[in-house]
Amino acid sequence: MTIEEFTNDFMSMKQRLYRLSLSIVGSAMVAEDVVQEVMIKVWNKRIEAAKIENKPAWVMKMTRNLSIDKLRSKHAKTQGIPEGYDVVNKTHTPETITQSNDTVSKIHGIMAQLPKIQRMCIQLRDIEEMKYQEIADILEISIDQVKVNIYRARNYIKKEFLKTDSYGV
Amino acid sequence: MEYNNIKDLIEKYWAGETDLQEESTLKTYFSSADVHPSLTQYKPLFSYFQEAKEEVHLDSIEAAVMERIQHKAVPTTAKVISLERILKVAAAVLVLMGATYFVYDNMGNSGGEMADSERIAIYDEESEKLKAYLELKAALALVSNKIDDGKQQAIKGLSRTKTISILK
Repeated sequence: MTIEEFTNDFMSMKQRLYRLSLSIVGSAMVAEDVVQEVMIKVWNKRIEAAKIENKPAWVMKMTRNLSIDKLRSKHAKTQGIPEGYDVVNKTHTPETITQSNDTVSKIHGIMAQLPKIQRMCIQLRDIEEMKYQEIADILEISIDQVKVNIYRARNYIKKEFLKTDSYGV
Repeated sequence: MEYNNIKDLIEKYWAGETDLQEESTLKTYFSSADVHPSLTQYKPLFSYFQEAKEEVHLDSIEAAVMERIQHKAVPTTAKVISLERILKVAAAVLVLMGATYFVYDNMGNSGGEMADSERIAIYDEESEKLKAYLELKAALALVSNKIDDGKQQAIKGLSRTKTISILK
């Protein structure tokens, strides 16, 4: 695999990998580390990587696994601190906070409360717009499990979102 | 898009029964300015999904990775091994050449009659050769020691001084 092929096939996925990792680890810094590590891993495995048929699914799976590993080691180090999102997002700086951004951070909070598997399913479906089969491949679960998780996640989001909304902004 | 259609699609969405195209229709609808008043409450949710795709700055990561993989294209360990091999082969060749030359030279001069001056000249030449040979041998012993005892720095130093003093 040449550097050019690596750039076209794998480096081009960095934004998606970053978002997937962020949805798991909840920290922009850790997610950046994950993307970097995954890219280097892919390069080190380039002979194998070149033969992979579904490259996006393969590298997404790798990103998911490494993110979960990071989360575990982070939890081991900082026991007792609940899992959650660092809301590291450039749109949340004081200068740019608007009413609508306030709603965005509320949705962010609801997402963060979802169980990890549901959050990953929603991330891959509603944000990355992937097919059920693709999601099942990446998360290594059945299509039915993907559908069930998406259904439960959306129900939770609906309930919490409408509840939040009824208090009025 | 008809209001009723969207309403149905939302229900389908909550039930987890929409396909990708229908979900895309919902996102497009809610990103438009023309959202039905009774549905505006959902607008932030669907625009959240769109906004979450906004690209972040990852150029520094890409640069770091590219630098690392370009650097890694020539593995450093292979260099070390090849250098060691070259040294070993070179040492072996030198020893062989020296030995062959010495043996050949001795055989060549073993017979025949010579004048005394000639003998002395040859003796001088021979002693020069012997000296050169011993120096070469000492140098080679050093190289060989360095290679063999690379991992034991302390022992290497000791054996080196020993070798030199013995040969002297």
